Order: sequence, then structure tokens, then C-alpha cells
Amino acid sequence: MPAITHLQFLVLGLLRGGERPGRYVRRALAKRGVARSAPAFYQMMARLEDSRFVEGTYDQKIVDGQIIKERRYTLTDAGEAAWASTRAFYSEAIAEFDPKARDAHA
Amino acid sequence: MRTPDVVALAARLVPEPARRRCFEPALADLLRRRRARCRRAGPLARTALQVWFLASVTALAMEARRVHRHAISSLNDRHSAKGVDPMILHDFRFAIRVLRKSPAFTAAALLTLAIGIGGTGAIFSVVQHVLLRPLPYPAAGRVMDVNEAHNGRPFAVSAVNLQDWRARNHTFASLGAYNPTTVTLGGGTPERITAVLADAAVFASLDVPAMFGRTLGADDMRAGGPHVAVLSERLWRRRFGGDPSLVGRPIMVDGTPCEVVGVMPASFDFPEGTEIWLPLMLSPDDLSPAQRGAHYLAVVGRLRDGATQAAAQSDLTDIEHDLARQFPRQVGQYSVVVTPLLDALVTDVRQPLLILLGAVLCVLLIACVNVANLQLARATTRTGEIAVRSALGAARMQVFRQLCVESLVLSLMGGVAGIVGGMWVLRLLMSISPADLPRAEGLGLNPNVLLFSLALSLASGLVFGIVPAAFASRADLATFLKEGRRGSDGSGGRRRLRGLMVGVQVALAVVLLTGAGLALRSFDELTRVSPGFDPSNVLTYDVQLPAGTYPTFDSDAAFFREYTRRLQAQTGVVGAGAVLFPPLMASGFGGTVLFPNRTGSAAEGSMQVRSATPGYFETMRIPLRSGRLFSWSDVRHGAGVVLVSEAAAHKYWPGENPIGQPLHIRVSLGVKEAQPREVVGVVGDVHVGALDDDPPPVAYVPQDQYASDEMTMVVRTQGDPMAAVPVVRAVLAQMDGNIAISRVRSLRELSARAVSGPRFRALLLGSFALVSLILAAIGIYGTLAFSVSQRQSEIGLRMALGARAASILRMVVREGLLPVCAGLGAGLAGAAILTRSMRALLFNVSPVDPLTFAVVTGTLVLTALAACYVPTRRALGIDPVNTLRG
Repeated sequence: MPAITHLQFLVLGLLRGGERPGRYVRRALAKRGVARSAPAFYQMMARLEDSRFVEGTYDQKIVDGQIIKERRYTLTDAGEAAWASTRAFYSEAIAEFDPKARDAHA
Repeated sequence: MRTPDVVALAARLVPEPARRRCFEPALADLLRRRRARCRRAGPLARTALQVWFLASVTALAMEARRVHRHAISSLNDRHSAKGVDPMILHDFRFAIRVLRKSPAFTAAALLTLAIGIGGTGAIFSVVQHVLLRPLPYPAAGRVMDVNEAHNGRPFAVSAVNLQDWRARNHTFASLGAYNPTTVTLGGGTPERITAVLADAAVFASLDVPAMFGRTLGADDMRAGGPHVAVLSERLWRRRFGGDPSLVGRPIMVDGTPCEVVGVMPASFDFPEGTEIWLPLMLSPDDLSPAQRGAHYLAVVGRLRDGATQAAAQSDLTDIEHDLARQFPRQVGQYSVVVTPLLDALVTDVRQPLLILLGAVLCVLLIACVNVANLQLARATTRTGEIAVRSALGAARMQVFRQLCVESLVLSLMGGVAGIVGGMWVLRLLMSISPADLPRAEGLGLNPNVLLFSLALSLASGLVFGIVPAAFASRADLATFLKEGRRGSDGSGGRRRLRGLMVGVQVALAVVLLTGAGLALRSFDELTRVSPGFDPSNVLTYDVQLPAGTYPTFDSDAAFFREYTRRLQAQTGVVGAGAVLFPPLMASGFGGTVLFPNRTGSAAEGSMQVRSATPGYFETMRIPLRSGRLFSWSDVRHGAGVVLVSEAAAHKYWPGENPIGQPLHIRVSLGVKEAQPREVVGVVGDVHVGALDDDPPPVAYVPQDQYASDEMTMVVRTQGDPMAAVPVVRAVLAQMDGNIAISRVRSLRELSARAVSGPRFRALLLGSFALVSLILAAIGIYGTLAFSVSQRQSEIGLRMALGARAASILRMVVREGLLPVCAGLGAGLAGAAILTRSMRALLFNVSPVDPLTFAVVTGTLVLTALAACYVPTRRALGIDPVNTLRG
């Protein structure tokens, strides 16, 4: 079974394109119908960081006299591996359970 | 409201980990969105945006809190299966951070706890090792020490009575007799070693097999049989290099070849310090009815299965009563005492050690109360923090738990510091403990003591952390905001609690100070007691002649006569002599004496009997009261003479002159005497045992008329007596190179040993009392200083309204001294009750000695006043103008 959830699979996939700020990832998720409050989203990202799948850095700026710390995320090797193994799992599952898809894939 | 203020306020609503993980990144997104909208907005829209932003930030904070709580509960669910509560771990981490932020408080509390836990751990180590550690024998609870008590004091057992006990008792599986002595081990450099003459039943009673070979058997006890010996593991390793083939080979003991038949294991150390066991051979003469009154054996026995100590006591008592009826003169004054061996071994040190344990527990209690007091004061300064946390949603239980965890962390750290300190204290204790402390070998911190210290730490942390935590967790924001920075010394409840804690500390300190004061007074009284001789510049040592080379009384007498004369002729030697049984060693030989020219009960008495050479009394500077001392003309076959001590003269010749009176010593030093001796002199009294015992009546016979193969030499020198050791060895070697000297020490050292127990107790109790006094002073100072600092505004206001310095002084000092007075009263009452348990340990001092109680009261009051001084000065120095401005 995959080591990550489908939502985490989605997030890791989004980060395969390179470093992204958190708001970008959140917006991309929202486009796919995943509505998460900002704190809930960043809590999820923090867990991905705890699992060493992504690496987060602060991009500190002063906006309207207020220091803001925008969080930016990069996919780690472990994250890449987790995403790849999940992808392989789903591919095998599709091939096994859907002959048409297998033929199309072939 | 400015944006940073809004953000800061909102951020405070979010717990720390959630703030970093999810609030700050989300806030950054929100700020970006606001900026983007602001660029396009007009002035009105900007105001609306600000309102929207305020609402959004608040919502963000609330959402972050919700997410955080959800995350924590998920974690709880995940970890609960593993038995780990992440909040507890969080509390522990937080507690360590908090303690690191207050280094002064943490150091003070740690030091206090380390003193309490370390001291208690060290004393408990001694108690556990000496009193509680089981004996290393199978079913050790059934091994009994048996004595014949005389005038209520344990006394040696008569061999003849023992024979009757063995034949008639129903409760003992075995009753073994033994007699400690010393022997010279030859075969190389001669060495005096501790030996025990033991019969086979001793080994049967203790039920420990030999490590190699066998123990002594019944056949070994036959007179005229082969000489055999059993060695201790210590001697076997030290002297014979641990050679297993030693069993079956001969060694030289007192000039006689002895076959080693066995080596005992290292755990077998009975009696303590024994290096060799030799057969106890009792001749038919020794067991004849005439010897029923000769008490010289120690007895150890093992109870039969199912028999109890009480049953054994009753059994032997019945037999003793029968014997007393048959032989009233020899047995009538004796009774039997059966005691578990462990109790008998530690009987002299049990009470002092338990008193010391009680004292050090008092110190620990004072330390814990002190730390609790510190925590309570600190909790007051943290009221704001706790109130804000409560306002932000922390349940009272969470705050309480957090404070308890802080207390627990503190006490655990104190426990670790205490264990380290305890090891140091233990080493110190061992270096100053009396040399005769039984069962002290191998004493150190062991797992039991570590567990005890750990349990003590946890208990002290919980018990003394709960009360401050309970008070502190009540803090509410409204009260804190209302009082603001004006400060308060806490609620009335807290003030009362702090006062109560100071009172408890003072009461405990009074008990300890009183105990220490009594011990010191008793020690002082004891050091004023004259031992009856001048111990300065005197060397003492034992010389035992090998029986093989010196087989007769005449040869023994000739040797010691010549050795003493040669010593007296040495340069730097002021005087020399020899005695059998030196003073202060609690050893001796008691004998029945008869007064031939009297009738009835006045015709019989009892005296300690000692043998001495001419020169002994002069060397010891024991004063001659009347008559003359011994001379070299008092020879074996001349007229029998005897010297008596003043106590003997007062007891048996009250109002008479004993000089010229006849005195018949029935059994002088184990030898039956046929003729009375003539009293030729009266000498001063000498303490033969403890200094707190009255000197007994003593009869001295000339060494020439009763020669022993073992004597204690006394040599008075012009300078350091220990410097004369090579000289006395050289003189001995000139006479016989196979004789060793043993127990070499100065008489001053011997005298110091006589008071080492009381000195040890006084020193330890004094140290504990000093620590308790310092802790109590810190407690009083801390409470008062804190109260003054918290009441600065009030005091300043009072002064601004016209209060005089005297009234402020009265107010502060009253607050400081009220709990002290209450504690003093309670402590004095407690001390009056508790010090009664010290009665047996005190000499010439009453347990309710008024002087000690008065000094303790004065010391406590002065200490309390000193502790009040600085806070009072600070209170009087408060400037009302500054206070009102502030």
C-alpha cells in the first residue's frame, strides 16, 4: 500500500515542478476541489516536512511594515521516491483491474 | 489599531508549535492578499479592508488553534497505544525551558534538594548496609546469638552451662561456642592476625560450606589431635596468593605447624574480621563443675525448623533456672538472652543510626518545604503568565499538570545531584565514622539506595509541588489585570501557606538543633572525663609469644621481664611496662574475690583482674594513692601481692586502710589460686571500657606472679611515640626474630577511639542542624524579602501617608517573626518529646537540658532577626515619591 495519502500524492506531484510557495500549492489544490483552510493546509505541509518528504524554507519580507514569512516548499528525494512508488502502485492496480487501460497503456 | 499590534495579539492566541507550523505561513498569505487588494482600493474600501483583515486574522488564529488541538488529539490517539502522552513530553520540554530561564531559582532549588536527598541517601546507605542487609547465611533469621546476662548486661557464657544447654534444649539444632583471639602467622615475616577458636557447631549453626576443603569437625576438637586450621578467603589470597593446593599443607601458627583443612568463601566473615579459625579444645578440666562460674565463651546457635526466638528464649531460660537452683552461687546471678544474630551484631549502633536517619529526614523535609516555598513565591510572579494561558483556553488541570511536571523535573534533577553528592558524603562519612562500626565493609551506594533516592526525589517533587501548583493554577486574568504591575504578595491563603512553611522549617530546625546541642554537650562532658592516665607520648602495641617456643609461665614471665628492662634502657624512652588488658579496650577478666578475715556476704566480692609489670603504672602515670607499686622483687615464687584500684578500696574497705589486708583471688586470669595475696598498694581508677561507664574495682597482680603469653606493651617517649616503633621492633628482634607486634598505636589514638562514637554523632547531628538552620534562615529571608518586594507600593503609600519608619519596621518584622515564634514553640515542644529517645546516648546531660534549649531558642531568634534584617532595610529604604510615580 502507498505510504502517502492521495492528497499528499497530489501535493508532492505539484512540487515535482520545482520550489513553490505554499499559497501556490494551496491554490492548485483548490482548483482540484480540495478546500482547506490556510492553517489546516499549512499543518498538512508541516506534517509532510516532519516526514522529510518536502523541505520548507521561509522567504522573509516586510509588507506594510509587517514582517511576513512566506513558506516555500521543495520536494526532497524521499518525497520523490514516495511519489514514484505510489504512482507505480496505482499503475499496477489500474493494469490489474482495468484491461482497457492496460492495453491503452501498452 | 496598527497591523503589527493586531498580528501580535492574534499570535498570542495560538500555542507556540501551531504558531510556527501553520499560523505564520497562513498569515503571510493573508498579508499578501490584503496588499494586493489595497493597491486597487480607495480610502473607504481601505477601511473596509482593515476591518476584513482584523476579522480574518482573528479567524486565522482561532482556526490555527483548532487545527493544533485536532493535531494534538490525533497524536494522543496514535500515541496512547504506546503509553506515551505527547502532552506530558511537551510539559517536560517546557519545564526544562522554564527552569533554564530562571537559573538563580533553579540553582537554589537544586542545591537545596541535593543537600536533602544526598544526605538522606548517604545515611540510608549506612542504615541499609549495616542494619537492614541480611546476613550471608542460609535462613539467617534462624541464627541466634546467645548470652548469659549479668546485671542486665550481656556476658560471656560458661562452658559448663553451655554443655547443659546442649544436652537439654529442644529448640536449637546446634549451639556453637567460639572465642576470638589473635595468633602469630609464621612462614615468612611473622604477622599477628585475628583468629577465632571455634567448635564444629559454629560452622553447623551458620551452615556455610567451605570454598575449598572442609570446615572444622568434631574430630578436630579432640585434645592431642592434629593441629588444623581453616583460612578466610582474604588471608588465603593475601598471604598465600590464592593457591588452591594449600589445602592439606601445613602453615605455622604460633610456632606450631597446622594443617590447612579448608578455605571459607569471601562472604563468610564471622566474627567480623576473622582471618583464621582454629579448633576450640576444651579439656575435661575446663568442663568440670568447678569451672561453672568461668564465663569466657561466645555462643551462636541455629534454631530447629519451626522454633521461634521466643520459644528458644523460654527453653534456655527454663534450663538456666534449673541450673540456678542447683548451683545458686555460680548461676544464680545470670540469665539467658537469645537474640537474632543480626540484631546482636548491630545492637550498639542501631539507635544512633536510626536517630541520624531521622535527623537527615528532617533536613530533607526542611529542604522540600524550602523548595515548595520558593515555588510558591515564584508562582506568584508567574501569575500573569498563568492567567494569560488560562484565558487562552488552557484548562486548570493543564496548568496544574504543567506546574507539577516542573516540580517533578526539578526534584529529579535534584535527585541526580543528590546521588552524586551522596556518594561524596558517604566517602566523608566513612572517613570519620568510628572504627568499630560493624558490617561497614563494602559500604557504598547500591541499587537499593539509588532506588530509594529516586523514589525520594519523585515523592518530594510530587508532594511539595502539588500545593504550590494548586495555588498557582487558580490564577485568573481578571484579577491579574486588575492588580496589574502594582504587585501583590498573593492571596491571604498563599501568605498563610508561606508562613506555615516557614513555621514548619523553624520547628524542624529547632528539633535538630536541640538534638545536636545535646549531642555536643554530651560529647563535651565526655571529653572532660579523665581516663585515669596520661595518654600523651605513649606508644602501645601487643606482643604474643608463640606457645611452641615459650611453653611455660616461667618462660613467658622471663621474656616480658627482659623485654621491659631492655626497653626501659633505650635512649628516648621515658618509661616502659606491660599489662594484660589495657585500659579503654573493654576487655578484661572478671573474677570472684574472697576476704579471708570476713564472714557472710561480706567475705565475697568481684573484681576485674589484670596483670602488670613494674614500670607500667609509672609509664601510664596512674597515680599511687597509698602503699607501693610493683617491683622486680615481686617474683613468681615470692609472697603473693596485689594492688587494688581506688574503686575497689572504696567498695570493699570503706573507711579502712586496705594496705596489708589479705585478698584471695579465686580464679586469677583463668588460674585457680590457692593462697590469698596481700594488698600492698592502692592506685588510681582507670576507665577500662567506655568513658561514660564508672571505673570498676580492679585488682592488679604482678606479671611475674601471673605471666601471660600475650601482653600489651606501653612505652612513654620523649617525642612522637610512633617514632619509637622501629626501636621497639629492633629490641624485640634482638630477643626473638619470630615474634611480631600488632595493634600498634599511640595511647592518644586509643583515647580518641573511646569517644569516636559520640564525636561522630555530635559531628553529624551538628552538621545536619547547621544545614537546617541555614535552610530555615533562607526560608525566612526568602519569604520576607519576597513579601517586601511585592508590597513595595503598599509600603510606599503608607509612608507617603505619614507612616513612621518604626511602624513599617514593626509591620515587616512582625510578619517575619510570627511564623518563627509559632515554629519555635512547636519545635521546642517536639524536641522535648523526641530528645527522650536520645537518653541512652547522652552522658551527664538531661534530654531536656535547659541550657541547650535556651541556646537553641537564642540561636533561632538571632538567625531569624538576621534573616529579617535585609528585607527590613529594603522596606525602610523605599522612596514614597518613586513608588507613587511608578
